[in-house]
Amino acid sequence: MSGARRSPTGGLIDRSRSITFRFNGKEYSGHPGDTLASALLAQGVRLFGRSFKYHRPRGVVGAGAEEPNALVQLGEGAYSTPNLRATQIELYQGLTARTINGWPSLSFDIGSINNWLARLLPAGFYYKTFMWPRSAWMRYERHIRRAAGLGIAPTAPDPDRYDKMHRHCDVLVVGGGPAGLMAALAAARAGARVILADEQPRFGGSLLHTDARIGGESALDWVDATLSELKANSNVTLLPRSTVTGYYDHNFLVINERRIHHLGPGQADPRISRERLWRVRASQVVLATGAIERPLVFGSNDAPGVMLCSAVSTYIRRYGVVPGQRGAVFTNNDSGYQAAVDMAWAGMEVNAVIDLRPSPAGQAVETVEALGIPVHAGHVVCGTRSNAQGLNRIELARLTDNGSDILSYKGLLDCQVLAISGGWSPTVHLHSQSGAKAVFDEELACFVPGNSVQAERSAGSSAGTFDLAGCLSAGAGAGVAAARASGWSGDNLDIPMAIGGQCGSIQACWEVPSTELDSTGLKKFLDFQNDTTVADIKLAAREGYRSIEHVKRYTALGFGTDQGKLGNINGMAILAKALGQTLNDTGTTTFRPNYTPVTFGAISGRAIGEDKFDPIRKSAIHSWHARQGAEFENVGQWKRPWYYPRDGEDMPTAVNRECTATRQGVGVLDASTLGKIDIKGPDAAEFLNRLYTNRWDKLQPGRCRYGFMLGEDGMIMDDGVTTCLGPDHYLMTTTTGGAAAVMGWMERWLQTEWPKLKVFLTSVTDHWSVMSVAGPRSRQLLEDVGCDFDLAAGAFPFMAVREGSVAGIAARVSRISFSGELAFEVSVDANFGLALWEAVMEAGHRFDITPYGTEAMHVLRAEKGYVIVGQDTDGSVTPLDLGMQWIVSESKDFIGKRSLSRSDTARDNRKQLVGLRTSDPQQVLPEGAQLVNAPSESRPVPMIGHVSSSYFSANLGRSIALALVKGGASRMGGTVYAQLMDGAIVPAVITSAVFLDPENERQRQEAV
Amino acid sequence: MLQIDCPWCGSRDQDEFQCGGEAHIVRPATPEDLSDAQWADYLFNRANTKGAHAEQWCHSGGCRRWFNIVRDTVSYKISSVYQAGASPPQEKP
Amino acid sequence: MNTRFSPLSEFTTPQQRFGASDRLDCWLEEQAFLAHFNLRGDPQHSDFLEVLDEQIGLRLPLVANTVSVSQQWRSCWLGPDEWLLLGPKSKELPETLMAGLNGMHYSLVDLSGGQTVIRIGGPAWRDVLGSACTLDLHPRTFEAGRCAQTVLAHSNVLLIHVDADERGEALDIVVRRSFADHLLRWLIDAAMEVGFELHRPRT
Ligand SMILES: [Zn+2]
Repeated sequence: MSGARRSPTGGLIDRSRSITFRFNGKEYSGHPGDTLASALLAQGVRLFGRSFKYHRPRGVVGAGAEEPNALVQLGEGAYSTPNLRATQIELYQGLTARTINGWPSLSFDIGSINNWLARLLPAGFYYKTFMWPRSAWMRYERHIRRAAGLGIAPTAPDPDRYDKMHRHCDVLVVGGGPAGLMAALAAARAGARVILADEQPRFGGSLLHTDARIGGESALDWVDATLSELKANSNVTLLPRSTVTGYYDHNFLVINERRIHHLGPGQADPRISRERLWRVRASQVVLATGAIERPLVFGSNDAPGVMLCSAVSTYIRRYGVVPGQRGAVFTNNDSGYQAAVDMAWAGMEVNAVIDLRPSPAGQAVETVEALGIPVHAGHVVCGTRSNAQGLNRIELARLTDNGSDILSYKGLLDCQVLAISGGWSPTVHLHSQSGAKAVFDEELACFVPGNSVQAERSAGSSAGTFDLAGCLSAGAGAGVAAARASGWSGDNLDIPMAIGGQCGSIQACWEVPSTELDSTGLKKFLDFQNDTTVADIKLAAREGYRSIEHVKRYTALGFGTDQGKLGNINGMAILAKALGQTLNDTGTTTFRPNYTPVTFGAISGRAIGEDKFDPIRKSAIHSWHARQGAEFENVGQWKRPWYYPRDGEDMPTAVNRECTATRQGVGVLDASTLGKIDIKGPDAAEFLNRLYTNRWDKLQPGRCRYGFMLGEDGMIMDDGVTTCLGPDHYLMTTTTGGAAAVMGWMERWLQTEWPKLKVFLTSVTDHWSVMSVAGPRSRQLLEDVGCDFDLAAGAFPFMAVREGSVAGIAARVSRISFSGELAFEVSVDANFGLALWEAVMEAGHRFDITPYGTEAMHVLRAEKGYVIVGQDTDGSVTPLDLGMQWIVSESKDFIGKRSLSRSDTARDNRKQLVGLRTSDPQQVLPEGAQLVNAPSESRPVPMIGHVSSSYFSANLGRSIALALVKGGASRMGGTVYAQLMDGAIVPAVITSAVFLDPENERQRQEAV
Repeated sequence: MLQIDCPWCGSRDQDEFQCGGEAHIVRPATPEDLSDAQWADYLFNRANTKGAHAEQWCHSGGCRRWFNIVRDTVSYKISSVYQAGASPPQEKP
Repeated sequence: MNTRFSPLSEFTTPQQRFGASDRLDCWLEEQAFLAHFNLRGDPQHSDFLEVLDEQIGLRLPLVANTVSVSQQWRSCWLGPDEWLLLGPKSKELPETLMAGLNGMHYSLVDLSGGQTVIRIGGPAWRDVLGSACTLDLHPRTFEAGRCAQTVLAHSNVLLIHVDADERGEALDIVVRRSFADHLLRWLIDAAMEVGFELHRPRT
C-alpha cells in the first residue's frame, strides 16, 4: 500500500461533515472543501486513468487546471460532463465519476501492454499509417477512438440554464492570489470599477497552501481581511469559480463562471444558471495568473505517485491529505524544498531531496537538512519502478561535474511519492492571447511576458516574480498603475511585510541525461495526456521538422485538453536544443483560447431553442392566424402563415383549396411582412432612378410601379412596388427577407456616394399592417366592408393607390396583384391591423372568404410566372435572364447597368427563366432538381440548369415549374430531363413561364 | 470582438457594426465609357492590404451612419476614425 | 368602433414570478399607444430647429445619445439628422408644425403603430439588461438625459434613461412592433433569477 491517508488535523476542509461519493462504481467519502482528487488521494486511490496512446496507468500530477491525467466523466445521464479534471471538481454529496480512459482496465498490471504498443506508435503514427490508403482510416478509426477513450458527450438535452453577462470595468484583475488581491485592493481604493476573477472556489491562490505570514498575521487571515474590504466596496465584483478563458481584441475578455457545479446536479435553484459567461470590456487588465510548476523529465516519470512539488504541498496543507508513507523530492531549484518540509510536517518519511544542482545552498537547504532529510546534490532521479499501486522505488544517479551526463548509478530508494520541480512556468496564456509575445528569461529559466500589445500588465509569478514579498508589491504597483491608466488617481499602497515564500536560484533542466542503455528502456514523458516523449520530439527534428507549430501537430505535444500546461516548455526546449537554437528562436506555440475547456452550454447561454436563438417576428394579425390553426413558415425572422388546414386537411388539400378559392371567389393574405421604406426629398425620384432599372421621374402621385434593384454586378438584389405618395414623397416595398439589407444599401449610397442628394429614408415596415384581398369578388367584398372612395375600375385603375377609410379605419389601398387576380392591398396603422382583418373576414362570409398562406401565394404567382427574388434568382440572375428587358431602361444609368453589358452577362447561353411541363401532369418536380439535355449513363453529365419553383396547380389541374435553363429562351418546345435523387429521369417540355392568363385580363379587369 | 469608435456615438462593440470593405472606391461617373477591365477593377479588385487599411463601417445597430476607419489588418488596431466623404488622414512620417 | 391592439396586447394579464431566494427585483410594463414620430431634417438649418421649438416647445438634442424634454414630448437623438419624437398616448402633431416645416427638406413619419415601449425598472434592471446589452449601463456613464441605440437580443432598440418614474429609476426600451413579443419574452426569461412583475400595459 502507498500509505496515503487523511492527516488528523489541518487543511481547509470541513471535517465535521462527511460526503459520500462514487468513483468507478466504488463508494468513497470526503469532506466539504475537498476536490475529487484530494478525497480520492486521501483514501489511497492512486490510479486515475490510462494514457491516451500507450494506455499506461496514470495518477494525479497536479492540483489544479494543469492536471493532465486525472480526467473524469462526471455525473450521469443528462448531467454527465466529460473530460473534467478531478483536481478542480469540488466534492458534493452523491457525486459520481468515472475514469474516461480505463481501457483495457484501470488495474491492469503495469508494463504488460505498453511495450508492444510503444513500438507500434511512434511520433506521427497517425499521419504515417492512415493517410494512405484513405479507406484504412475508416476501418481503424472506430478502434483507435475507443482505445483513445476520451469522454462521452451526453445525448439527453442539458437540463440546466446557462446565461451571459456583459460588463464594462476599469480594471479586470485575473487571479486572486497575493498579487491579484493586492492589485484589486489598490485599484478599488483608487475608485476604479474592478472585477476580480479566480478559477478557484476560494480566493488566495498559493496562499491557500502556505505557512507564510503577511502583515503579522497568517496568510489566510490576510486574505480574509482583504476580501472583506473588497466585498464592502460596491464598485468591486468578486468572481470566484470563474476562469478567464480568453483574451480577445481591444481588451475584450471572456470569463466562465461556474455557479452551481459544486452543489451537485439538480441541487441548486433552477432559476440560477449553471454557468455564466461574462463578456467583459476592460479599460485595463492586470494578469496575476500565477505560474505552473514544471515537471522534470526523466525515465518513467509518469508513474502514479510522481507529483509536482506544489501539488504535494497543496494536498498536505490545503486538503489535509498525506499522499503516501515515504516521499522524496527531486528538484532543480529552491522552491522544491518546501515540499520536503511539508511532507515531513505531515509525518511522512522523507528519504531524500535529490537536487541536480552541484552545490545548492541557502535557507531552503538548511531548513531541510535541519529536519534530518538527506540532500543529494548533483544527483538526479533517472528512473522509477512501480508495482500495482504505482510508484514504489526511484533510481538515483550521480551527474558528471558539468551536469551533462550520468556519472554513476546510485541504486534504488523506496518512495511512494516523488515530488518534482523543474522550476516554474509563468501562466502567460492570456498575455499571449492578447497578441503579445512571451520572451525567454535565461536567469529565471522560463518564458515571461514580453511587451504589452493591449492595455494589460502582468504582476506576480505570472511575470516571473516568484517570491511572496515581490508578488505583493508587484500586485499593488500594477493595481495602482491600472487604475491611473483608466483615469483614477490612486495612492500607492503600503505593502504588508511577508515572512516566508522566498525564492532561490534555479538551474535549468529540460531533460535528465540518460545513457544509451536506459534511454531505450524507459520513456521520458513530456506531455502526459498525449504520451509525447522526448524521443518523439527528437525524431521529429531528425525527420526535418523545424517549426514548433509543425512539431506540435506531428507529435501531438500540447494537443490534449490540458493544452500542454505542463509539458510544452520542456518540449520546446528539447526541440530548440535538437535544432541548435535558443529557446527564443524556437518560440512557443500559440496560446489559444480557451485556457481550460468551456462547455457549449456556456457559449450558447440562453440563445437556444426556437424562441431565443433568433427573434421570431410577428405581424399584428399573428394571433388571429394562430387561433385559426395556421401552419407557419419561417420567412427571414418572420413567422408567416403557410396554409390554414381545415379539419383533417393535409397540406396539398389545403393549398389546393386556398388557390382555387382565390381564383374563383376571394382570398386574403397577410402581407404585412414586406419591407416598407418612406422616401422623401427633392431628389427622391432621381435617387429611385439610380436604384431601380426602370424610370421613376414620370410616376404621378397616386400611382405605383414595380421595380428591380440590382447589385453593381448587374444581378437582381431585390424587387418590389413603389408608390408615389405626393411630390418628392415615395413609399417603397421590398421583399420580406431583404428589407433591412435594402434599407442599409440605400442609406449607404446616400451617405457615402451621393451625399448631395437630398433624400431622407425612414423604415416604416412595422407601422403598416397590410392585407391583400385577391380574387374576382374582392371589389365587392371591399364595398361591403365599407370604403369611402370609388373602387370601380374606371375610378381606381390597376397600379393606382387611394387613401381613405376602409371599415372606418384610415387606410391606403393599392390596386396591385401578385396573384394575377383582381386584387387590393389595404394598409392601415398596425394597431388597427387586427380590427381591419376581422372586419374583412366578417364581411367576407357571404363570399366564403378564404385566408391563404404563403404556399398558395407561391403557387398563384408561379401560375403567372412571377418570380420570387431569392427563390427563382440566386444572385447570379439578371433581369435579362428573366426575359424582362422591358424593365431595363436604356435612357439612364442605374446601379448595375454597366455590368449588364459585360461579356459574361451579355452572352447568349446564360441560364434563362422558362416554364417546364412534365409529360405526366401529376408529377411535381422537386425544387432544385438538376436538368440535363439527355439522359446518360456516363458521368459527369453536363448540367444545363435547375428547377427553381415547382408546384401542383389546382387551377390548371397539372404540375407547373419554373426553371433556369441555359439558352432556355430560344428552346421553347424542347425537352429537358430532370435527374432525381432516386435515379428517376423525368422528361419535361420547355414552355413560357406564364401558365395562366398571359394577357393579364383577370387582374386588370378594366371592363368591369 | 473589436471596439469601434462611432464618430457620433463613441465606443461600441463590433456587434453593432457592419463592415463595408475598402473605403475610397469612387463609383465612376460614366460607367458606360469604361472597358470591361476598367469596370471590373472598380467592381471586383481590392487592395487586400496587409497593414493599415482604410475601410467603411456602418453603425447599423446604432445611429445607422456610415463612416471610415483605418484599421491594421494584422493587429486590428484602429488608428483613426473619420466621417464618410472625408479624406483619409495623412500617414504619420 | 374599431378596437386597436398594441404590440404587446397579448400580455394583458399581470404576472408575478419570484426569482431565486424569493427575489422580486424587476418590473416590466408596456407603455402602449404612445405617439412615435421619426423626424429627419438639417440641424444646421436654424429655421428647422426654431419651428420645432415654436410649435411643440422642443429643443432638439444636438448632442449624440441625449434626450430633450418638453411639456408633452421627449425627443431622442437617433442620428445627426434624425430624432424620435415620443408623445403621450395618441398625441397628434399640430398641423402648424407641418406648415412651418413646409419648404424645408425634412421628413416626419408616424411610427406609432410600428413601435412600442417596454419600461423596465426595479433594483436589478441593469443585470437583466446586462445579459444581452453590450453597452455600459453603469450609473457613472448611463444617467438621466441619456439615450442609446443598440442591439438587444438580436433586436434593434433605443434605450432611454427614465428618472421621472414614480417607482424609481427605470429604462424605456423602444422596440419595433414585430420584435416586441420576442423581446419581452426574452426579458422575462432573463429576469428569471432576479424575479419580476409584469404589469398590465399602461395606456
Ligand atoms: Zn453611431
